Amino acid sequence: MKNILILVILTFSTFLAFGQNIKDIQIKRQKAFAIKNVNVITMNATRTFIENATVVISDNIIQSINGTIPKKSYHY
Amino acid sequence: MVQFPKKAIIIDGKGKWLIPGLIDAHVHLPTDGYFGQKLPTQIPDLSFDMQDIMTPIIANGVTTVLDLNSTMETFGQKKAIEKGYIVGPRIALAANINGDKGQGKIANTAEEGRIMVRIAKAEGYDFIKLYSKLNIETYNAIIDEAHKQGLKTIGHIPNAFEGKLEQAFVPHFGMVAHAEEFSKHSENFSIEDAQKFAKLSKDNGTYLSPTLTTMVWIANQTNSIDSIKNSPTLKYVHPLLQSKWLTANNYNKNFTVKNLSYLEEMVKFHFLLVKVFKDAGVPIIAGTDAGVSGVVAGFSLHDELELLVQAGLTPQEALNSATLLSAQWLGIDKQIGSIETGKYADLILLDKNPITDIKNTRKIAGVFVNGNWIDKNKLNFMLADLAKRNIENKDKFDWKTMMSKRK
Ligand SMILES: [Zn+2]
Repeated sequence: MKNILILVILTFSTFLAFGQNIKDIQIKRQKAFAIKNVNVITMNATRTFIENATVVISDNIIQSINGTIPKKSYHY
Repeated sequence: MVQFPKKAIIIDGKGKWLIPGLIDAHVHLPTDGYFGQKLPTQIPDLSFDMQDIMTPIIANGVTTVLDLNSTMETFGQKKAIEKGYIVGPRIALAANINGDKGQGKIANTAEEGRIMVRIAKAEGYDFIKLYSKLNIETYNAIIDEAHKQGLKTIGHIPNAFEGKLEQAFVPHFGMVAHAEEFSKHSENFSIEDAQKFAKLSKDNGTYLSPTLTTMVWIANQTNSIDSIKNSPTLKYVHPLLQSKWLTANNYNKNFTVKNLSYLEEMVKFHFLLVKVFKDAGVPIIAGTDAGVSGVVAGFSLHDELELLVQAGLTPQEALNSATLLSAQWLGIDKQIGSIETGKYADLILLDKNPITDIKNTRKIAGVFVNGNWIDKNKLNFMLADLAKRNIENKDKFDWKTMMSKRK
């Protein structure tokens, strides 16, 4: 039984990992993500570093980083 | 207060580090091989699975590559990624133009050079790659025409400039693709030569992509084929290419004590070049020449970053060479290259801080690519599955047998 379960998980994750099905990929693309409490090395022109930030992503675009650059940000 | 979009997936970034997806500005993506029959519906003798080509690249957080010898098939790979059939990096395409005889785009007069550039533009290429056998008038015409067509140039410095290197630095020569293009023009690998080369680049606004890792690999395999045999990344390479690298390795065949010591001195000189070019203010771009035997796309960029730091870049400068600076040269810095609102979410989540140790770019917790979030478990699964199939199929592919089909 355990083996069957592993097989099911593997099969499913293969499907997810390789995403050969275009519909599957597109659905994932529409999803929004938020990375919370992360240290952001922006690599922008002024090399801003932002501690403990929340980065919101949707439609494959960075929608916001803490809304605005917080006071805590500093240059490294 | 941060507004979360409805149904957002929350990723815990606590104690982790987010950096922009990395750019490798010098790769050669493998394309299918047709060695025998020539029929309209022929099946390739050698067929690569597109996802298998891309998996090591994205698993290493490399979300953009510049392919420096693209074919129509590379256009197909790019389209397959854009449409979401496979998960892979953004691909910028360069048309390779060479002189003399051979395959691909060949130009031996200024007029032919201009025509080839205009054809490349019409076909949809993003860049022009200059190759070693161009004569001087053709080289000059290609660079001039490319500029008129809005295409940047990157490349080798043709052999025709032997003894007159300075003449190769014409306006709009965009980037030197290897440190070797300079070391070929130095007899004693001296700091004076390095400074002279740096001044030529600086004065002309020409960037340098040193591809340190390539020359390290070339020296290592010239010395011993074991360097490839024992490479931990070999298993991610298609079995036929593994066979080629191991059994038909021209670098290793050319082993002599003299050649090896020359290559080793050259490697050292390339490190010096990076330091001197940096001090002279020449922008340095990370590229790896992945596709050269031993150099495995994706993994190779982390090797290059480490070598750039050994050569004298700070970790931050090395990161810049593979993110914003590279995006700027590629002309896509409004879209990628840094983590800023409105840019594409090409991102790498790291377990450790790469600014304190550049090796930490390898500590990947997950990658955002093409709008997909792929976490470490999934990336490791993809890599393990690829390696497993390559090992299983090892005996089915022999380079010499395949080559004997060639007519
Ligand atoms: Zn190359």
